[in-house]
Amino acid sequence: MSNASRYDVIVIGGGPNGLLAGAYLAKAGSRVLLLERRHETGGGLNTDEYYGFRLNLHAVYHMMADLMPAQRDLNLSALGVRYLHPEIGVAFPYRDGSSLLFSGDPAATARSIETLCPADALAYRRMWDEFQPMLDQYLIPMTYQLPEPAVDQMIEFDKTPVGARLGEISEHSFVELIDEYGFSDPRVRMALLAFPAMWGLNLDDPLGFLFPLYLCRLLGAGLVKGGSHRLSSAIYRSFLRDGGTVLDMSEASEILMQDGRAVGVQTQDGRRFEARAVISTLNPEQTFLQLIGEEKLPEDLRHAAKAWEWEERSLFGLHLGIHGRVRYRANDDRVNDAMIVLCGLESEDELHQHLERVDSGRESECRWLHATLPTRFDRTMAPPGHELIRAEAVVNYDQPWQTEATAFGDSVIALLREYADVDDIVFRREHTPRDIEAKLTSMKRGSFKHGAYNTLQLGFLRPNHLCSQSETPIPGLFVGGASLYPGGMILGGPGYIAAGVVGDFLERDR
Amino acid sequence: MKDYDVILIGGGINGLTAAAYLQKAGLSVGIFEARGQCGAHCDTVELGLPGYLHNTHAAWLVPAMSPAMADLELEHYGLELRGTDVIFAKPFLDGQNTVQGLDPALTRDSVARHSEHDASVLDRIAAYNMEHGGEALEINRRNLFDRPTGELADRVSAFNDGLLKSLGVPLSGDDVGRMTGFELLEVIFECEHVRTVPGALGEFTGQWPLNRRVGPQVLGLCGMSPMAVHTARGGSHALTHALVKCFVAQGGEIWTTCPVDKILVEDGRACGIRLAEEALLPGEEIRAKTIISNLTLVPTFLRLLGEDVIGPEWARRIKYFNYDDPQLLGIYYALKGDPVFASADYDAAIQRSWVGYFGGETLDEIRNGQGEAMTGVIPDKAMGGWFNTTRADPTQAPDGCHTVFAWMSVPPRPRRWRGRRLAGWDTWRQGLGEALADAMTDRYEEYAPGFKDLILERHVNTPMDQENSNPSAVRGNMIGGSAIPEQYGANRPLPGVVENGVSRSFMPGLYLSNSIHPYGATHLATGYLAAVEVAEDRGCRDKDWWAAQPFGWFLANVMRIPLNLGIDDKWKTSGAGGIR
Repeated sequence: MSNASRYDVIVIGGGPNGLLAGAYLAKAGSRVLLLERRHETGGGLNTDEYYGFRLNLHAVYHMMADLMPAQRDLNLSALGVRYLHPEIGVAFPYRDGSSLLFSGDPAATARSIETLCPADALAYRRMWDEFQPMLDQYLIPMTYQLPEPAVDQMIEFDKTPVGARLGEISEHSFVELIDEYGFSDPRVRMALLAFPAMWGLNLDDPLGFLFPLYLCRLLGAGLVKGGSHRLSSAIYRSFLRDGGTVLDMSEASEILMQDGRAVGVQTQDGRRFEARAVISTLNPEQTFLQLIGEEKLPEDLRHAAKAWEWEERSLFGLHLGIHGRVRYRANDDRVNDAMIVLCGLESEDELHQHLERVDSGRESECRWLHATLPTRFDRTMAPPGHELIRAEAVVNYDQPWQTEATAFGDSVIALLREYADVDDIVFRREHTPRDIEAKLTSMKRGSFKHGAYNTLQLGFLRPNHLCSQSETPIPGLFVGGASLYPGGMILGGPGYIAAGVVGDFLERDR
Repeated sequence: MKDYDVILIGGGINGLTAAAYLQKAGLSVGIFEARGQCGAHCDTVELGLPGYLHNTHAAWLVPAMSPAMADLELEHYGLELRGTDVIFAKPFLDGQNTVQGLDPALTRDSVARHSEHDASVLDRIAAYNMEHGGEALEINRRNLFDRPTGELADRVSAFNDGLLKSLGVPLSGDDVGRMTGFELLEVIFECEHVRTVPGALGEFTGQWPLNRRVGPQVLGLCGMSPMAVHTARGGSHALTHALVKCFVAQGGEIWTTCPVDKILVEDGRACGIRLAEEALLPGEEIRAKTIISNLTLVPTFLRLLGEDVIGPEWARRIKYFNYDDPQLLGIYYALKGDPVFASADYDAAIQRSWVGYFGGETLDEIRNGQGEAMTGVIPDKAMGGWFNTTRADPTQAPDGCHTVFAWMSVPPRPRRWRGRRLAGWDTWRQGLGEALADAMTDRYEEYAPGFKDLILERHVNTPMDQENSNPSAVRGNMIGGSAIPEQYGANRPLPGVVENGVSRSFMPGLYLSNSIHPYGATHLATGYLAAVEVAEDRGCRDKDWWAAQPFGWFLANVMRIPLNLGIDDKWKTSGAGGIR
């Protein structure tokens, strides 16, 4: 191999985590090659520009917007990243004109809850006050550190009262948690459960520690000004500026091995690149079973890779370009100021029944959606005189989407029009779970977090106990995508963690 | 916000070219782009189905002739040009076709099957060009990458004098300069199947053969060897990517989602910009000694400077800058197979061409169609071009599948179609684009039976969509303003706007890289010319690396650009029979 094809590090996959890992390592002086299968980098931070409409097809609400270390380390602000933080995070309008508004201000949220149920308003304040120190002392810092085994983690938690309480709620399911805080109104309970449910999480799984993140951080989330892709293109430019090489239209087909070590990558069209370290940001099936091959894996790693589970639920997206405007008809006009509007279901029972129907594949029309009007906060997202709607629904991957997409899209529009006045639709674009998987192959079965969030695939077990320190049992091979702790949802975690581990490895390996 | 040496308003490919040259020459350059990403007219998008890449505007890439190819090391920054051995084809309803190949012998054979006379004309043009190759190259070089001068017009005239003599045509070079392209074609070729090929090609460059004074350009097309035309691996946006990578690697800064509101003027000099309220940095003022606008003429002078700065007389003249030439209606197909032209039985080479034109069976039909389009009427019979880009670069669609970009020239403000009165610009909001796309699809089916069965999805891009995606492209104009004689050559954009060169405007400190000579295209000439003038004025033109000659890279490298030669075989084995 010539010098031109030899690098310190090869990163497979140009999504947010691959770009982050590449940018950190290039900034630290390493010679880094990034291989991207598609014609654009950005992965889940994709924003397709459709004749003046900017469609965020995947990630929109960034829960760690201003907290991810990359903001500061890569000076993303100087590279053009700005977050918009709508004051009202989430709104639930109901058919009778009433509504619930959630914001980052717990007092304001409590006032909104109070209109439906005063007792629940008090419960909400109590819960929020308990969650804040958990976030500050544990959950946020832990997002950017290597995960510890559960037992060590529990011992660590037990050292402080806040930690002990966090350990306690970690054993609860979302439903148990809101039972425990004493929420009673069916609409309030539905709204609280919607925070994890809208991302496809199973409400009965004991994942209570995710609740403070999904509730409080979503209410503190930001939208990237100009579209999600601005975040990835800023990291991309940081990487280029520091001498990184990006090859797009370059799909990795094999991780090259020598004496049991990963020594390089071959692409689909036969080009070979050598490196001291390889970081894969793909899912475990791709990384281990496809790019290395079952026969070359140690047995425990082979088992772990094969045991990887996809998410049970995926998302159906509908993007609408509107000539004119969109207006929710709620009594409280502030519904229109919300970053996310959820509508369709109006009680906890309806939510459980709905999710049951989704899981059994019996939901052929849209009954529940969450929608965003990016143009409400950012005029650059559509041409003058136009609005853009992005609506998503939790759906089952195993529906015949090839034939059902249009009808399902029609039902999304019908549901939206039950709650809002929508002027002339000048274009629409459906994005089914099949499209998710076809566009970003790492999101198999439309699994937009690269694999299920369950107790066996989170924390120290993500992607498995052998690889959750980013280092894998194969020397020279590291993992760094959303299937690594802390996971997907644009936390800026896995790529950051992998960069640190690989940086240390290169130092040792010198 | 820090100051820059140079501010570039608009990160289209010509803006990027100017920026990359100047950053590399040692100036600090900031690009301010209104869209979310650079390359408005050189973009590649999955419009619907994942894996099907559509080049939403520029598909006909010609950077191969640009000095930027070498100076900016665009290949090093990832630009991989791709082509086929048969570049252009025109099928006819009588079952015949005409093709143009990289190899002139292929073109000649195709023409000879129609007319020995016309083939011998091609031979004589080729012989004359061979004999005067240096002069032909110099004329092309100066025509695209240098200031237009009266002296050049004389040289063109003299060159054409000789060419016409060698063809035995009783016309002078000066005559050609006063003729429409169609007139000229009628004189030179005898066969409609041959004449219509350069007649259609003129439409691809936005220089209408119907216009007087484009005779010399059309004469240039008569040689029928559009060798410099390519697609890029991964789509047109790869050209944008390469320019961005080059610029950023040199330390250049790009600010997207930053529409500019005003060009700041102090003591009669442009000295900075103010961003719009909806921009990433709302209302921010940024300063630079040099401002380059890559927006077109009207938004630059009427919106960013304004009448109170340029005065009522300039405001009035610029208001009448013409953007009304017919523009593209783009129709993007995702196809589950490769359409087979009926005329493949006549000459299978057409299956290897990735660019072509259908409809317009005779020169008169094309001429009338263009004439109607120029007066606001959409021709009854749809005609237009196609790019089957995936024949040159199969990576732009899943294996065995194709994306085709078909287009027709439409008046931006249509008044009539098939007897219906239309409401002008607003008609685009009333579904006219879809109706025309239906007509174009039917027409495609006539030339390639079975085409409709291959369609997986279809998207339409009207001039209004184009303006929505890039408001500087007024009425969707693709080349920075109509290339009518009054706005062409030394007149461009309008007499007096850039008196001292190509790019320096009458406003000190403000340079233009759009709406200027020659015209906006992927040869990157307007960006190159802006870079030259700014660098001259800033005293940094003298760099060792800044040495490439136009066409230099092309002449040295064209033969090694990978050609996708497997297409013909694939088609043969796919079961279509009856090939000669």
